[in-house]
Amino acid sequence: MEELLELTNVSVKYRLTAEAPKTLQEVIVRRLKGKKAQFKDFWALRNVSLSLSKGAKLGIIGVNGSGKSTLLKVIAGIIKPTEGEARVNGIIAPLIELGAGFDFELTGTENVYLNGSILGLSRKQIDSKMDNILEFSGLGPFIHAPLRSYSSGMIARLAFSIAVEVNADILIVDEVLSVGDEGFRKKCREKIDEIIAAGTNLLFVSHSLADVQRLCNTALWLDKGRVVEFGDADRICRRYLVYFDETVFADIPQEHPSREAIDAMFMHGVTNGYEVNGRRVFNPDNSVSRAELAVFLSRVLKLEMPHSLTGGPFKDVSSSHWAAGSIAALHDCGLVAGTSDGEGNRFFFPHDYVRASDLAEILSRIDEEKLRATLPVVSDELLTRGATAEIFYRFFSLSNDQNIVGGECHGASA
Amino acid sequence: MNGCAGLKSILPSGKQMGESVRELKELARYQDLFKNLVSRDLKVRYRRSVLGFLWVILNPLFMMIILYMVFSGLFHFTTENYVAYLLSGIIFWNFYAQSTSTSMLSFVSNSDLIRKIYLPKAIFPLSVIASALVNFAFSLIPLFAVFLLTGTHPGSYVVFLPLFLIQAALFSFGVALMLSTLMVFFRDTQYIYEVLLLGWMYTTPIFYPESIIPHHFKFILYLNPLYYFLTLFRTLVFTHDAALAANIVIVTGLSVLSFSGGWLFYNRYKDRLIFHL
Repeated sequence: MEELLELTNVSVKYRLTAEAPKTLQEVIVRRLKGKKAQFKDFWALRNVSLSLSKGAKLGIIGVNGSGKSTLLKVIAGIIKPTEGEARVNGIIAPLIELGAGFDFELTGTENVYLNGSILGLSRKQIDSKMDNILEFSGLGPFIHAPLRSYSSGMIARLAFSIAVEVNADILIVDEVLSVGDEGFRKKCREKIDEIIAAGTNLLFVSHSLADVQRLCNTALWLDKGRVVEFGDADRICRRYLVYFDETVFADIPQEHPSREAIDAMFMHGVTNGYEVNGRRVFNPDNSVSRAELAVFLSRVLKLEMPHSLTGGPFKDVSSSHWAAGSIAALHDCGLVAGTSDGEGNRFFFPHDYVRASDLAEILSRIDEEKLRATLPVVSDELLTRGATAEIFYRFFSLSNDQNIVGGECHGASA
Repeated sequence: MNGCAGLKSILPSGKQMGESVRELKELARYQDLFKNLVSRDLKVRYRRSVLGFLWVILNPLFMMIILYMVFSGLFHFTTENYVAYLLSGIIFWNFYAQSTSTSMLSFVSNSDLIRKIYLPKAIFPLSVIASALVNFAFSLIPLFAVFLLTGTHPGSYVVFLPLFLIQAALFSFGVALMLSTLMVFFRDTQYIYEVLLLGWMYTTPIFYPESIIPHHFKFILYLNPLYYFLTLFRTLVFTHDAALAANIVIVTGLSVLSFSGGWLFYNRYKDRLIFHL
């Protein structure tokens, strides 16, 4: 099958314009002074290879200046790669930023024709889409007024309405979802979901990792023009979040003393926190139940879950308990034994809270020396989630940057 | 040796020629956009002025009246039919000066768009030339009105006017492509061209008769491509005296030369424009 998009070793070189002369006058003055113009080359993209087949929804993430926009421009045909090759099979519709291509003296309808033809539509095609565009924009009679009388929200509505009607094979969305009022934003999101469901491919650049996780199935992480990682959107966003010190948990601000430890827990997939009203929280001051601790431990040790949970080791942990797999796995490798009632039944007490000494005892079974080195004083107090994160962080040496920058591009098809 | 290499780097390679032809096809693919850009230009220019399209007609008339008062009084030109001579000069010069100096800015002023979406960029200067051409055609109305008033007969050469419009547009488009591309790299192109244009205007016989130029300075005239255009234009609309066929050949040659030069120049640098916008 023909790939939708194929980039082979694409590199883009910029000449830093701050160094280059901007006027003929400067060039002449430099020549007279005997100075040769000094150019500083800057690679905005370096050896980026990427191939996407139909149905791909790619999110491109990276800090400012990492080459995200350059990559989109290469894909859109605006920039020709200095080296390498970019092949695109299909029509591309960029959701261009507010107002670009609009003329403020023209009316809404006139701008629809102008903008539609900029996007490569013929007059006939625009005629047939006009009703849909007008309806979606919800501008009503204002459509016959010149654009200079519009609010920025109205302009955004019009721009969005045109772009989504292009019926492109690839929709490029560059941070555009934050326009208009809440009602229209919702409509936009629904429309994008609808377009994606209809099989349109999406290229999405955003600083909102939540949007990338929601809309995309694949993500590309760029740093200094190189591909850091390419693959599953959720996994890459997670690693990216922690790596770039973004606020992972809403209740763990920058200056929180356990932040580093908690972020590391998140990045290594030991904890996901809780979703409350769309925000991710960690609740660092809550106590930790034994069941919860079992889940943390089984994740950090990457233990394999038993295939069957029936007839588990503990009488008080039924096979349908949410932590049954983790508890059984810990038992199987001898880390927890539970308490015997003297009649052959063993109990785990999954809902009891954990004390620091309890955790220390378990960890001592893994590596006593390391425990002494990382946790010299053991109190008998109830453990909080934050304190647990700290202990895990140190004991298991959960680093925040392992295998991230400089990782291989996997280059797999989405 | 060195000169040879220099020449080679100026002449386009086969690959560049192919690229140039492909770009022409791209331009044709976007013809609907071209129409929209031209109509936008015309609409925007005249929608907000009370007199609207009348300005196209009034502007050269007013200019002619002023220049007529200045020059006919001052120099006592003995040109036959000075009004027609003056007006035809003004109309043609206006077209050339306006179309080239406006389209010179067309990459820079559309940089927002060029940086965000793929388009054959030449469509911007081309649409500016086209709308200037429409204005040029409309400004023929006052010219013929003045002819009517002064009893001048346009004659049968007028049938070549459409051809002349195409030639003039082609010539301007070539200049425009070169200027607008240069403008992206060197922002003072604008000022240099303004000065150049002023000098150019005085060396073109717009409001003075050719005969006042001393014989040993005539070469300046013959080096000026616009001189041939203007002579042909005047021949077509009222003088009928110069060698028509030779003039048409020269003007066609100049137009083709300007267009192909400009087109190759633009194509050579078009992929680098984006980095300077």
